[in-house]
Amino acid sequence: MDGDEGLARLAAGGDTAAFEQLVRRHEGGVRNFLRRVARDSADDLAQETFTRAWRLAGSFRGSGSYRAWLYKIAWRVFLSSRKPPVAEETCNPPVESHSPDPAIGIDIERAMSALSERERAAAILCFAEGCSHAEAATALGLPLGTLKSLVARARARLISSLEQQDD
Amino acid sequence: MTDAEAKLAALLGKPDRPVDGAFVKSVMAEVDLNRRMRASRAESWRQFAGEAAATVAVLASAILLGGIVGDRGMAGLLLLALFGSSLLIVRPLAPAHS
Repeated sequence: MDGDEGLARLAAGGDTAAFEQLVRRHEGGVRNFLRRVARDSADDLAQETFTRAWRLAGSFRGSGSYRAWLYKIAWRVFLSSRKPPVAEETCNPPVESHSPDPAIGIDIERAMSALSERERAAAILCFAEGCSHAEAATALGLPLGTLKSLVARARARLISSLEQQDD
Repeated sequence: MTDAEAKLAALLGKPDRPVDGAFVKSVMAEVDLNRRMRASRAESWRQFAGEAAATVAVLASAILLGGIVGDRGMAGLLLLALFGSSLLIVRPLAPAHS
């Protein structure tokens, strides 16, 4: 089976079957990322992300990974859609947790909502989606050093929250 | 990866589930719509370019012929050219027959 970059080249030439393969590969990750950073309307944003990825398929140069390019689009779609930050933390429903213990899921949500948007996005990309620091920096449009600082800060705060909950 | 990072990955990771076919289908429906719209827009531009070129050719012919047949003849030819141009403009606006 072709790698992402090969499929992306085919999609850039108008091959919808190749693009469908890419959607199948990445829908879970993109939706998880958007659910964690945007919460409500995450699926609409994910749909917009993939539609934009199709329209911009010709602009993927293959210099980085397709995944980083796709998350970059998702991040921009999120940024352009977000409401003023005042209402952000008040009434968001908890995101589905994959922990066997629901209480831990709620606690990780609480810990996540204490992070800034960028810290949250960096944490999801690096801890949950398995992106390298370079990929996450590309996706969020940040210098590598800034991204590393964000990840370190998010990691420390999340671990501290988890340790408090273990005590 | 440290234990803490592994725990974070487990808590934050995407659910272990099969591909969401309904989501993929809705994305592909939008992609298909987008593709058709682009094709239709390109076709419209091609048609417009062809018709604009034809109009220019008709007008240029009228002006050249006007030089040959004199002022009165030129007025008639210009009217004829305008009539032909208006047909070219109105035809794409008419409802298509299925």
